[in-house]
Amino acid sequence: MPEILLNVKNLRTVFLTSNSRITAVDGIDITIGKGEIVGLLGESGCGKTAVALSLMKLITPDEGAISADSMQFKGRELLLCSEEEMCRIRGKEMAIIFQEPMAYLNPAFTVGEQIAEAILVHSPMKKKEAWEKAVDLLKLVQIPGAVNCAAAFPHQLSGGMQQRVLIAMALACSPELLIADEPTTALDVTVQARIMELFRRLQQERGMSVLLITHDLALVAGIASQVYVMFAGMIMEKANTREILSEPLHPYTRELLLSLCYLEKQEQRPENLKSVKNISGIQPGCRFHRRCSGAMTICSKTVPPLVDFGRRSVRCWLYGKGVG
Amino acid sequence: MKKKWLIRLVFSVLTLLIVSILSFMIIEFAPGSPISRYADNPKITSADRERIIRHLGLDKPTSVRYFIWLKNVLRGDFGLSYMTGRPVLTEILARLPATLKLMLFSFFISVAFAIPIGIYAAMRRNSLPDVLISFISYLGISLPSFWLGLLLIYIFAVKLQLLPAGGQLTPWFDSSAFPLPVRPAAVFWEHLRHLLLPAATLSFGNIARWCQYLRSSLLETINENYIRTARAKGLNSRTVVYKHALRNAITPLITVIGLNMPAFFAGAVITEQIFSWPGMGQLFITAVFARDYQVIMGITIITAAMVLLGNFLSDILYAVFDPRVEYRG
Repeated sequence: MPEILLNVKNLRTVFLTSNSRITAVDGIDITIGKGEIVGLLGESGCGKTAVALSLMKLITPDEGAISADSMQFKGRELLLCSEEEMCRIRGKEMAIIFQEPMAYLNPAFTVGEQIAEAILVHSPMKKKEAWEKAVDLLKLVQIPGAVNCAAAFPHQLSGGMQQRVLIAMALACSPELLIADEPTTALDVTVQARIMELFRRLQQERGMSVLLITHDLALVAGIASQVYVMFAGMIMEKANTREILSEPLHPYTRELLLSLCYLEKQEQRPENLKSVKNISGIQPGCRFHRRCSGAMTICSKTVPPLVDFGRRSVRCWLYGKGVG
Repeated sequence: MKKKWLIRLVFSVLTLLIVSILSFMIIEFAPGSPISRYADNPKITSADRERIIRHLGLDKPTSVRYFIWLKNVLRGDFGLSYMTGRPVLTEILARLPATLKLMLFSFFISVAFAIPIGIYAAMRRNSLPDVLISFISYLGISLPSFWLGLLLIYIFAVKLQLLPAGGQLTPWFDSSAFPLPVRPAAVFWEHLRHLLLPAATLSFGNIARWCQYLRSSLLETINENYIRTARAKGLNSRTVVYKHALRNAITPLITVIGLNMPAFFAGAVITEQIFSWPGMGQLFITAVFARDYQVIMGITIITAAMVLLGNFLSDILYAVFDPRVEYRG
C-alpha cells in the first residue's frame, strides 16, 4: 500500500430542495494512495458527482451540507479547513474535471483566458506567460490548433474540444489528486484512449492520483487499480480491479459486468437494469434489494454492513456479517 | 455583420416613419386646435380665424399636410413654432442641453446605484437588508414620478430648505462673487444642487427596476455550472462573483435598460414640468397645451430617434459583453 493521499471516513452529503432533503451520499469510505488511480463506478443518479463535489467541499450551504467522521487529505483535515484554505487547495493540490463541458465553461471568456486564470490563481506570473502555458496545456490534451483554440470562446468549440479544455484546466497546476467525473464521456474512443494514456503518464511521471468517476466499467478496468462500486449513495463493493472483473461478489457488480458483456454482444440490456433517478425515498433494507435477483427476506429489512475481507469488502447479506 | 447593422438602420428609419404617422394622426384626432385659444377672444373675428388657419396651412387635408411636413423634415426643416414663430429646431436645440444634462446625470446615478445595490441584495438574499431593498424597490416601481417629485420638493426644498425646488440655476447666481480658487467648485455645486432633486425623482424608478433585475439575474447566474468551475479553480468568492457571475448577469440588464429608455424619456417630461427644468419635456408640455403641432411633432421625432439610438447602443454593448451574440445574427 503506497502512502495515503486521501482518506475519507463516513462521508454523508445531503442536498436540500425546497421541500425535502435528499441524501445523495450515505456514509462512504474512500481511500486513495499517492500515485494511485481509483475508480468509482456507478450508474447515473447514484451520487457519484455528489462525492466528487463533497471531496472538494464545493457544495454551497444553499445547496446542501456534507458531514464525515474525517476527510484527511495529505495529512490535513479538510473538514476543519476554512473556505480560504480550501481556495488554496482547490485547483492546486486537488482539481476536478466536470462532465457536461458546455455548462461548466464560462461563455463570456475565451478558453485560453479561463485556463490561464486557473494557472494565475495559484502561481503569480505574467499574463502572457500564463497564456503560453495554457496553449501548452491544450496541446497536452491533444487539441489540434491549440493556439487558435485558446483564443476561441467555448461556444465556438465542439463538445469534445470543450471537454478537453476542462481537462487542461484541471491539469493547469499539476494537482496531486485529480477528480475526474465522467471525463471522457463526451469524447470519441480514440481521444478517450489518449486522455487515459495521458492520465497514466501523469500518474507515472508526477505521481498524480486520480479518482476516476464513471459508469463505464471498461474504462475503469483499463486504468484503475482499485474500484469502488456505488449504488444509491452507498458503496456496495470495493476491491482491486482484477478481483472485481474476475470474481465480482456483489449481485450489483455482477449485473454491471453482465451488462458490459451484453453490450459487447450487441444484445439488449437486462430488463431490470433501469436507472434509479430518484433515491430520495429510501426504503429500509439493502438499497439494491428491489433489483436484486437473489434477494432474501432480510434484504428488505436491514441494510447489510460493509463486510471487510481484508483487501476487499462487500455490502451484501450473501456474505454474512463478517469474516466470511 | 455589416449587413446586420444595415438592416437595423433600415428598420430604425421605418420605425421613425411609423412613429411620425401615428403621432400626426393622434394629434389630429385630439380635440382642440392651434386657434382654440382665440375662440373666446372677442377681438378676433371668424374671418381672422379663417385667415390664421389658411396662413398655418391647416385648411389642407391631413394627409396632404403630413406629406408637406415629411418633405420639409427630410430637408431638415421642422417648420416654425405656432407659439413663437421661431424655427422648431432652434427651439428644441435651445432646450436639448438642459434635458441631456438631466437625463445623462440621472442615467449615471441610476446605473451607479442599481448595480451595487443589486449585487448587495443578491449576495444577502432573504436577509433583512435584502427584504428592505425589495420593499423600497416596489415603492420605486409603483410611485408615480409627479408624486415623488412633489414629495421631494416638500421635504428638501420647503421643510428642510436644503435644495432648490426647481430651475437649472439660481437666476441671480454670480460666480464672480466667489474667490477664484473655489470658483469652479462653487459653479459645480450650483449646478449639482439643482440637479439632485429632479435627478433623484427620475432615477428612483430606474434604480428600483434595474437593481431588482440585476438581483434576480445574478442569483440565476450563480447557480450556473461554470460558477462551480470557477470555484473549483480555487478562486475566492469575490472573484467568482465579480468576474464570473457579474459579467454574465449584467448582459441581460443591458437589454432591460435599453427597453427602459422610452419610459425614461416619458418620466423626464413630467419631471421637467414639476421642477421647472428648462428642457425639452417642459417645452413639450407647453406645446401640447397650445396645440403647437409643429413643436409636438419635432420633439416626438427627436425623442423617438434618441430612444432608437439608445436601443442601438444597448445592442452593441450586448454584443461586446456576450461573445455569443454576434454569431447569432
